[in-house]
Amino acid sequence: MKRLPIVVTIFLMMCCLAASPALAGQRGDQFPDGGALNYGEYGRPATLDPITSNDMISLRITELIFNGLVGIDEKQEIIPELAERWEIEEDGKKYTFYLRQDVAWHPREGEDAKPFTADDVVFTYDIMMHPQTITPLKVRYEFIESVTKVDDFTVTFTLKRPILNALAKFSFKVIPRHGLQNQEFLTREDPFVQAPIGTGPYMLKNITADREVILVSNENYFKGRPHIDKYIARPFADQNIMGQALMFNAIDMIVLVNHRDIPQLQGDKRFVMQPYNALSYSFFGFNLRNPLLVDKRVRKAFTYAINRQEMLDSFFNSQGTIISGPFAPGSWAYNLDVQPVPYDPQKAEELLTEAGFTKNGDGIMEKDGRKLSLNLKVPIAKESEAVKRVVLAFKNYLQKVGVDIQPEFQEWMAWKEDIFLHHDYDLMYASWVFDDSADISSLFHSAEIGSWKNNFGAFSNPEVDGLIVEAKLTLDHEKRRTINRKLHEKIADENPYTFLWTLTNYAGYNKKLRKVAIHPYKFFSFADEWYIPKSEQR
Amino acid sequence: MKRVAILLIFVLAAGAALAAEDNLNRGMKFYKQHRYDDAFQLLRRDHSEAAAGSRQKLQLSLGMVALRSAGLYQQLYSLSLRMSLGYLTRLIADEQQLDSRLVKLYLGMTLLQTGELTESTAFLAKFVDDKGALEKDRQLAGIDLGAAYYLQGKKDRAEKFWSKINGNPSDPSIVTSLASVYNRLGLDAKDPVALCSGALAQQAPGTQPSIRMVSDIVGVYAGRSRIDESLDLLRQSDLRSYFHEEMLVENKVIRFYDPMLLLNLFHLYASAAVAYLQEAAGGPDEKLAAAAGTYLCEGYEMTGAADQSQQLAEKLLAEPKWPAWMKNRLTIRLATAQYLLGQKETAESQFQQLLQSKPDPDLAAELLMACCNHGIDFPPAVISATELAQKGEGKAFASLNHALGRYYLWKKDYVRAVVHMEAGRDKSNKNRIEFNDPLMLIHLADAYYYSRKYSEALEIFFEMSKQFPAVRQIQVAIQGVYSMEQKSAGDAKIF
Repeated sequence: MKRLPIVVTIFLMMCCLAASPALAGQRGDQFPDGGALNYGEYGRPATLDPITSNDMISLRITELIFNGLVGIDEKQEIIPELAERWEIEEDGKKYTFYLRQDVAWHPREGEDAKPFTADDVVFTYDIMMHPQTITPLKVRYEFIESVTKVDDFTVTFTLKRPILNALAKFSFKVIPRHGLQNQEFLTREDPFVQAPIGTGPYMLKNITADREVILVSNENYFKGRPHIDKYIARPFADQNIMGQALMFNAIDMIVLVNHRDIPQLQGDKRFVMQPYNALSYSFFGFNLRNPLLVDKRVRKAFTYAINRQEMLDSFFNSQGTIISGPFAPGSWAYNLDVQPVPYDPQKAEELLTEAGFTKNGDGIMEKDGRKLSLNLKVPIAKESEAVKRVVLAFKNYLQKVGVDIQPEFQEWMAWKEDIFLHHDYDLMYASWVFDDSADISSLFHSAEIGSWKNNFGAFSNPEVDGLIVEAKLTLDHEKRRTINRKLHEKIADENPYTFLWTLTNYAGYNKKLRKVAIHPYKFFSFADEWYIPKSEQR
Repeated sequence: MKRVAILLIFVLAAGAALAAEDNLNRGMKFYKQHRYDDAFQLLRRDHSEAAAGSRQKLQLSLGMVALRSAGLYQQLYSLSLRMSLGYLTRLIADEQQLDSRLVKLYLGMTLLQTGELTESTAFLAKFVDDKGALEKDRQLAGIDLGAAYYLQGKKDRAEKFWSKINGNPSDPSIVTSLASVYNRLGLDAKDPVALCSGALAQQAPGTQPSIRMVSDIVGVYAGRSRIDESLDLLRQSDLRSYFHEEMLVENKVIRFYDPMLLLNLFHLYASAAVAYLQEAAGGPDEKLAAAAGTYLCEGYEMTGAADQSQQLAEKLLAEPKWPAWMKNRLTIRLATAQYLLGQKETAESQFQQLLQSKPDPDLAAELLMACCNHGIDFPPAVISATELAQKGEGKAFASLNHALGRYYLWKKDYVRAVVHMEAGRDKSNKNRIEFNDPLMLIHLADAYYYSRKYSEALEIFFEMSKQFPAVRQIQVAIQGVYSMEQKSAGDAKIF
């Protein structure tokens, strides 16, 4: 390998955060330590590790427990985390990371803390890419050819090809080699996924009988001890109760304020409302394994049959925007030329007729003796009043065009298993949240069909696959934009989901929390800097 | 500001039992909902046929609506110019975009608008010399290159370029672009109106003029009392249209827009506002005339006629019978005009007197906003507004928080700008203009853009585009910058 003398070398020394015994455990700022932050979640996390998790509740917790080689600050700049500096070869295919030598893993009870080394980085990559590891991450890291440990604190990643924003992808969270029971791959059966240890500002203390996740501050955190002593994630099955809990000071923060509570919270001086998470949308997804749903005219008929604007106005007080395709309107990839399908039940019936369906005596559409009667699975974690009404309205709209929908509300884990593992559903309701990269490859590429993968509906379209691959391969921002516009148009036409809306998303918190900056996707990325004034700690 | 509007709506609505006044009420309802385009179209429909009794009310209403539209487009232009420049600058610096010719043309044109003449000249000259570019595009570049030379005092050189193009224009849009430049440079002797009318006449029957033509013609007509023709032209146009589309390699298309469209829309609505308000100010009902005069001062200010604003404000203030709120408002206009005319001490003394009268949140907001809009650094206005803002929250303080946000935006303190504007935002309807002043949303989007929270800015414009389709160019520029600036791993999670 020909190493070029500082061709593309980035030296970002973390002077103020540098490892020194004097600073270890202290932030070096004037803000007080202490206090606890109770925050309300709309469910409990399925897993607490960064590899197998694929929901937002888990993501928020893993953000507190783990670190990546690099991080991304509030200004979208790449900053050092576990790697204190890095070098990139001129051809963009070799990334060498020089690791911090002062990082220790959270200690298991009765054990000493073990040092973080290059072995952990190599191990994390190997685990992530192992065919038997259950993770949605694989598709994101297939651009890596190999990883090599150079020495205990240096690792080199060789890429198959240069890609756009490669450095940001090294923000994946690193897990400890000594932490897993199975040293080859990670599944949800490994105890680590429920009792993880990381290098981050907070350590998992325990999970209570009420499924509260309790995290305590890592006194030896390499960036300095976080200010707040304890973070407690409290799950609420009912979002209305969560809102009340905040009002009555039973919790200090809600990660996603229920739409009904926005006016009340806004008028209450005790609280701050902060918008975030603009890149999300809700949808009804089709299981294309069901032969009745293979024809795109049938799927499109469902979208024409429902009055999305009426649902948004009635059930969410118009607090959102109807969307037309697989990106959120706040995304750079949204194709502004593609308009949402209008409400047109007549067109819906015409499409079903074109697809070979006729109404039977009960008014239900039928084809080859099979009724268009479908189940709709909805996670109970989303069981707000508004969602219930959406589901009921969906059923009613479709009944009018001769489709029988049978909704089933399921407990979060049972729902996830039915959708992601067993693929046992006809229709499902959920929402996606994206980071800024607008990467929809895991949702719609045919290689992502399988257990615990995000293309749970088995959507497969060669043109879409080709565009997704082309978008990944290109180093040209404008080309990628054009491809995404095409993808938007194509996927809107294929209708693997009935795309619904992007809702107004606010976090709400008590004003006693200070210096609060919320990452628009990961939420707690900057939580080690938050603090509570001494007088308001309890 | 809000209170004044409400009072005027009350005045206008009084005695609205007549069916003929229904549209007036509906129009003012749209105005209250900030749906200025809807309001303007509705009111304009009745204007020509209005009976003498209701004519003055209509004129005042139309003036108010046009004034707010103008204010919006003025801010949109400023924002689009900066964001387009940000996008084009990033494009030109990206070696992957070397295949784009048009980026040079648009960068040159945009830099001309920001007044960076040397840089603009360099880009435009390069494009003019590019034999591989289309003749029509080279002529377009030549027109702006002429303008750049003209502004640098090289008038002969400019004339040489223009006369060569004028002698052999490759397209009617080239003629209107030439007219637009003549108009912007104040070269009335070249009769830009006739050039535009001629180009329109050349348009093949049944074809729509291009968006560039529409933009140029609107800009030329705006200041020449040809408001109706401009509005008719706009109604037939899709203001979301791109000005140029460049197809490069397979699956690579770049679309280009010209911020000048927004400036021309500003000129159109500002001219319309002044025209309608002048008519209303000269009408028989003296209360309506005074109200129109108050708005007219703002219109004069907006169109650069500070002297007329000062004269009118002084005249109205000399009349003792007007209520205090109207006088306070007029004092702000008077002081602003004085400041713009170089009477800094007198202006500051007027502002100071207003502040000593313990202004309510709306008045304090209007004062601070006037300062921000005209670059008047008057710290007591900020101190007073800050103290007042700490006394309350909610709708009553929305305009004050907006003004403070606007102040910090001007000072490039984006964190504080966001905090203030978020405090005044109706969060239940966070992006909807019916519930939030679109001017505030524009400023908030601006602050989010510079805070690199692009998705928040894009969400605002996505909603705004439903009433103001010309913001498409801003959406596309932000999308372009966002796609280049974002650094994320490529994650998606279910919830």
